[in-house]
Amino acid sequence: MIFSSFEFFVFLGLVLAILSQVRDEGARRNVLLVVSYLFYGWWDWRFCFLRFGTTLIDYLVARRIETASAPRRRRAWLLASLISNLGVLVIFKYMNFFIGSLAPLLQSAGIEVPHLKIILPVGISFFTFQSMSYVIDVYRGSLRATRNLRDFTLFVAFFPQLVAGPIVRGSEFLPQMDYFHPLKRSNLQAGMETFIRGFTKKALFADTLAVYVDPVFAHPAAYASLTCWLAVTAYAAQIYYDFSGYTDMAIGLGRMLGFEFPVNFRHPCRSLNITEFWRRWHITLSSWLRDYLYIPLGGNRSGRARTYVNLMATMLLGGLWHGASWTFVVWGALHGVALAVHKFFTERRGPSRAGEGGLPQALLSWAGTFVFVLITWVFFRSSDFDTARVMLSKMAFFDPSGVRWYHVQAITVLVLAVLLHVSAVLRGDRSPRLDLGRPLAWSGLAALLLVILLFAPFGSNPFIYFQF
Amino acid sequence: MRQAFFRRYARRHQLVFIDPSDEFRSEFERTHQPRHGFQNSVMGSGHINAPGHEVLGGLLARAIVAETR
Repeated sequence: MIFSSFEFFVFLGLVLAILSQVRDEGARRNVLLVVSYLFYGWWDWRFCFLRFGTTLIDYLVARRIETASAPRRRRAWLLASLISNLGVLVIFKYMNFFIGSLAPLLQSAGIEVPHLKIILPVGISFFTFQSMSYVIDVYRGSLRATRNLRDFTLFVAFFPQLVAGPIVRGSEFLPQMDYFHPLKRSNLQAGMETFIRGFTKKALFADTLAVYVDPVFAHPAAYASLTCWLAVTAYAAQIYYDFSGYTDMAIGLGRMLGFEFPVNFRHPCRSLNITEFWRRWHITLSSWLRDYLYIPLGGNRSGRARTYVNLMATMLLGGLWHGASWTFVVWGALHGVALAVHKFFTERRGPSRAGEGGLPQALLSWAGTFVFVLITWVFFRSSDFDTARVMLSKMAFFDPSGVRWYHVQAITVLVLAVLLHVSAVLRGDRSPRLDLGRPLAWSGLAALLLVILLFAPFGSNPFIYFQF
Repeated sequence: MRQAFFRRYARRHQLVFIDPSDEFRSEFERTHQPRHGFQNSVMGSGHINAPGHEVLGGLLARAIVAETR
């Protein structure tokens, strides 16, 4: 059940109708828990047990960590949680990847390599990281272990952010459990505005771009160089609108139900360097990697060389987090190298002052960052290295001939995207608001829905990040 | 298979049969531009486009000239 599908709208309507009739906060949370598991079970009910199992382990482990006084025991409990969470991740997500990667070696030794039929549970990377952050925070003493299993289970399974984030930490969600969450008109209105913004990004922008991107990435050799450049640019916009659209819908749903989720995107396409890009792109993942991987590895506290190694290790694992494929590892490695290079030059040159170098330097920095990010998306989107190689050789004009296809709708969406980004930058990173409190906004909403009905591709495509 | 059926049917009823497939294919190999699809749809699929009509028009013209000689 994806957020942009008809069945989800029916589901949401029913949830809101039930909640409007429930006055007791405990009963409301019970309803939210049941519908969250229903939402997850809609895809495959068997994985509800897996989900609850890992939740129960982390709930119990966190309580043990808090009550244990000896540091060794606390560490042992933390290790138990990490093994359980990462074990589930390895088995369901990476087993075939590891077996496949070792296959040539094993086969040369005469060992037959099986391909296991493993279904990847939706959202496994997200809920595993979410749950792990809670246990680590309790271990570090920055968060009290909750004594309410229902609240903790709701934190891990809450349907708005269940399958593709944002990665909400226990320290962000559990304190909200100290308050009541009745349905409020103001929350419903603000949440609906954010949800509609996300729906528009997904249905009108991302899905329209997918019509162009998918055929070009399926057979890049058949297309002209400029078409390949346009398709990669369209993919950069598609993945941004797809994922930030999903995030907006998740944040909006949470708000409708009275919960606040962290921001996940801050107009990443305006970044002037790669470090800034990662402060604006998938913020809940990049900050998770920083706090639970980069800093524990030593961060920048153990000398320059070690800092670069830590950055590389973090980004390699960040790449692998996205998918069990070497193309994702290369994507992460390229970003790791770029972050290390940027850090090296920043440290040599010292911090730059605002406006230093003027507009030409800013434009050059922006263009360099944008083109680099575009090139790395080739590895992210390509199904294998051969596709990436062909796409990159096309982009390098080694073989510029091919089908010249400049999709009118994709170009229109890209122009709109540029205008929206520029307008957001001029407004201090704020996106345009619908403000449903004004009567005129409802006319705007009706016009928007009409545009979506007329121009959005038929059917609801799954969100890109659902596969992670 | 469908082309073979139409070819047989045309022969049986003494109709002129024009199969543009080879011409479309060789034109694509020459120009790398598909004769189906438009910039606002998916290139290489769907209805024939302006260059496709041009190829088809040429084939028709040649067939008409040949028939009326």
